[in-house]
Amino acid sequence: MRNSELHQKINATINEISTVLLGKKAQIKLAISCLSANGHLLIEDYPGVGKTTLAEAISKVLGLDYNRIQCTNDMMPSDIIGVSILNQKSSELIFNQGPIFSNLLLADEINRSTPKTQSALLEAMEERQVTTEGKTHTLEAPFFVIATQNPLEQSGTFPLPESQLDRFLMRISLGYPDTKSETDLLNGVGSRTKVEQLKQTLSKQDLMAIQSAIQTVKVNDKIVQYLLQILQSSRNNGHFKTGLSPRAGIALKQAAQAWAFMEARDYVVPQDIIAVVEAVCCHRLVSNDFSFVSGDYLQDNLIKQISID
Amino acid sequence: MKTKVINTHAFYYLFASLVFVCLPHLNHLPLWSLAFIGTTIVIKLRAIYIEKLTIPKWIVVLMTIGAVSGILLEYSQLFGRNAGITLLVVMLFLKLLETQTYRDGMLLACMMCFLVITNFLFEQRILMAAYLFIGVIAITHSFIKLNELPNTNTKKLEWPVYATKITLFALPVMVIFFIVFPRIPGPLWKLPIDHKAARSGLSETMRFGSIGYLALSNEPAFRVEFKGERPKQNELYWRGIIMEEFDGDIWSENKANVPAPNYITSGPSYEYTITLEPHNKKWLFALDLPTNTSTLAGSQFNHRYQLTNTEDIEKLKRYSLTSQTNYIIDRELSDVSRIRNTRIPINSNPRAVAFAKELRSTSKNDLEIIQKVLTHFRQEEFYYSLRPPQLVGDKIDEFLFSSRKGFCEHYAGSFVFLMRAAGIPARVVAGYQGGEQNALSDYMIVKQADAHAWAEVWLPSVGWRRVDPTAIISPSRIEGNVDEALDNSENPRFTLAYNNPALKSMRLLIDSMNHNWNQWVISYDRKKQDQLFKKIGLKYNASNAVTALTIFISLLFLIFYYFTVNKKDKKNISEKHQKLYEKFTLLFANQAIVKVEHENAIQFSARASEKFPYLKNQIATITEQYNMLEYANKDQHKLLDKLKNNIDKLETVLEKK
Repeated sequence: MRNSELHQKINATINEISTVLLGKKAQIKLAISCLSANGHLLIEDYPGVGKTTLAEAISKVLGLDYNRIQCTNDMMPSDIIGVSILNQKSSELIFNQGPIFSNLLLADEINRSTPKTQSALLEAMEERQVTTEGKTHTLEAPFFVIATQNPLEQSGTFPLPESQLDRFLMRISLGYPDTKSETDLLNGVGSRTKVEQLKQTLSKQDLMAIQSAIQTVKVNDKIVQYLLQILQSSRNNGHFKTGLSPRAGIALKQAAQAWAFMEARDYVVPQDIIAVVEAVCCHRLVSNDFSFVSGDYLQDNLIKQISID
Repeated sequence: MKTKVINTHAFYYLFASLVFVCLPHLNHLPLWSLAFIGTTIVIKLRAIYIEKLTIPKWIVVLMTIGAVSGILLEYSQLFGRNAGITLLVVMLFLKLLETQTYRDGMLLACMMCFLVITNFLFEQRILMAAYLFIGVIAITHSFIKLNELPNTNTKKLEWPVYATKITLFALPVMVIFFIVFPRIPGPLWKLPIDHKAARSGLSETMRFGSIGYLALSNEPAFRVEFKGERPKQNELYWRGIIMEEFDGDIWSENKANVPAPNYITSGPSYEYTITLEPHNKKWLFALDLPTNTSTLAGSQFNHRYQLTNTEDIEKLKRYSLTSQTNYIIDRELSDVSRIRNTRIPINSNPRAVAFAKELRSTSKNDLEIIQKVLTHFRQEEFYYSLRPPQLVGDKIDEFLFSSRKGFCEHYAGSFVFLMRAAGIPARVVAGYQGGEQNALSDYMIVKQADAHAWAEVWLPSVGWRRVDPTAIISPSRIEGNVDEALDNSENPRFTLAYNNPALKSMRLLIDSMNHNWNQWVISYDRKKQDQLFKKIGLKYNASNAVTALTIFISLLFLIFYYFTVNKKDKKNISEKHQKLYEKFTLLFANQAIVKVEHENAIQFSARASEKFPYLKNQIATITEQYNMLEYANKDQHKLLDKLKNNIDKLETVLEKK
């Protein structure tokens, strides 16, 4: 399939989702590029701004086989992975697949589940396979997790540890809609019921094609140097408690490639890195006063410290 | 250049720095100008808050005319010291009123740098220097804010950290220039000085109350460093002006000037150096009585044993002398002097004259008359007071026989009058008495409050003798200082704060800092410069110094270039498309859109097309072509040519503007 055709389909996808999630094109584009780069996505925001709508809309337009779990604090790992049950006729243990066996898993309010359950899920995300009772079950590709979480100050939550946050390629937040979008929303333009009526704009094959095309997006020496500067500066410039890991570096590169592809380019330019850097890096960093790193903090203390010629 | 509007934030920094550097001028400015400044501020703030940034031109013109005529009315000139500064301050506030563009802001900031210097016309103490240093930092910060890029986050109040850093970096350069640059002889400020604005200090005439008002002044008159031994407190008479003429109200100097005849001194000799504060008069003060006045260049020691400078003392003066406190002067008195020093106005103060005549008839000799007058002062109810009642008519009569309250000039003046009425030659000497030793540093400070007047009488075969009637009335004035002599209720300095030992040592510390400042900075002149260079084994030569400084500053620029500008060149811009792109960014730099180091091509193009919307497509094409050449690793000669053409086209479009 030609790349230009894929670009058109991506644009169509973004537009389609925009009809239910109003005024959030930039976030939708980030989410699509995250999935195109074969990464998991974490959506963090206050209740009621459309986290779940976005997740559902994505699953709908991608036409993927999708399961949804609502995380609670009494949820067990087997509730996600599945459980073996004794078949009375054949006296065999039969593995009953849990909701994780799907192409797209929507884990709502992931930080309401206990650390034990979280780690079972997160392990599956990294390995793309689950092991239970000595048997390994491979998860069918493509496999994505879109998790949503409420900001940590909300009560009754178990914050995801930094090492596990690292498994998400991007963390985005939606924010409140602008006045025009909110007016439309109140007039019923983008109601949640319309999610069901969304058209499928990308097939599984399209998605696989996009994923392999993204891997061919060119990253030349100058871009590699720029990435290196970002990584090393984050470790040495004294504004962060811990710098970006090598895994974060690879994630940043992949996300930038995906973004370049969204922009219909077959090579990465610095702006592609800038476009994704907040979504990719903020949740992997802790500032040196132990607080969360905001987008502005990242820009001022990392990106604007690095020169480009 | 096209108009670039400065943001409100930068404006506030400008405004704050302007107010800051103007503050010390407040008490030289006429009252109406303060109201004027207040009005401009109100108008400007109102304009900002109701978002209507332009103030009609006619208001500015009208206000300018008003201000100029106000200054002409006040000073009848525009360029004297006070008039000039009022003009400058008022004009700067008017400029602030119309400040709107980048150019206005830069002009205002540059003018403020000049305003900083004008503060030294009035006050050159170390605290002022420190204050103005902060002022310079504030102005530097305004410069930085003015030149800040529009996309930087300017919402927060920012401390001038960077401005402080660069001002501190400039400090060593300033010090080197101060030391090496040829000192300009004479007072640096050759502005016409308004003589109306007298400095506090002794004046050339004395009337009742003229010294008393000085007793409230904490201003230093001079500072003395003794080499070796110090005289006792009651020997510290600093001889200043000798007043021989009396018109019934005012004592004044006789203008005759003859060099001093030979005189005999004895007793221990004291070596000392005086640092005299400028007082705009000619006289120099010396411990009664100096012996080596001939060593002092540019000064004269006249027949009244009074030391004067040939020029008015308009800046700090340092001189060294030796004195001995026992002396015999004018054993013989000329007829002219005798007549001059026994002359009193006809029909003035009849009761005093009668009193003196009576003393003369009942006494054997001059010495006895003196004794009797002093005894009279001691036994009758005379008081030493800062606030004597106002006297009218025959003031000496009034003082001697009814009010009986007075400061040193009352006692000295009346005493001399009685002596003259009794036929004894006598004159008033004005100067300072006493001084406070600075415990933290080895020098003594003599304040305006130590101003004093005493009498000299001439006795046959003894010569002129000092008689201080104040010492009879209030011995503690002579043994201690004014504060001890005055009744607590009268003394404004008699407060807990003033006498608190911690505060007192603080005051002394500040004064000793000022003393060193005076010695090393204010009075640093050609002579000192020569001495300093001799010490390090060099001969000072003005033209060599200027050459050395020129080389120094060029080197500094080279180093600066190497570390900043050159740094950019070190990066690899060898490729053709990079050179072309640099040309492209420079085109916009000329339009005040400067590419920042961390900015990438797309961010820069967004900023450029925001300013030049009609060039949006061209800018986007150029940016895309550059990005392809830079990041897609395609060696495409055709693309390079296209990029070159596009940039050339853009150049012609921008040049046409």
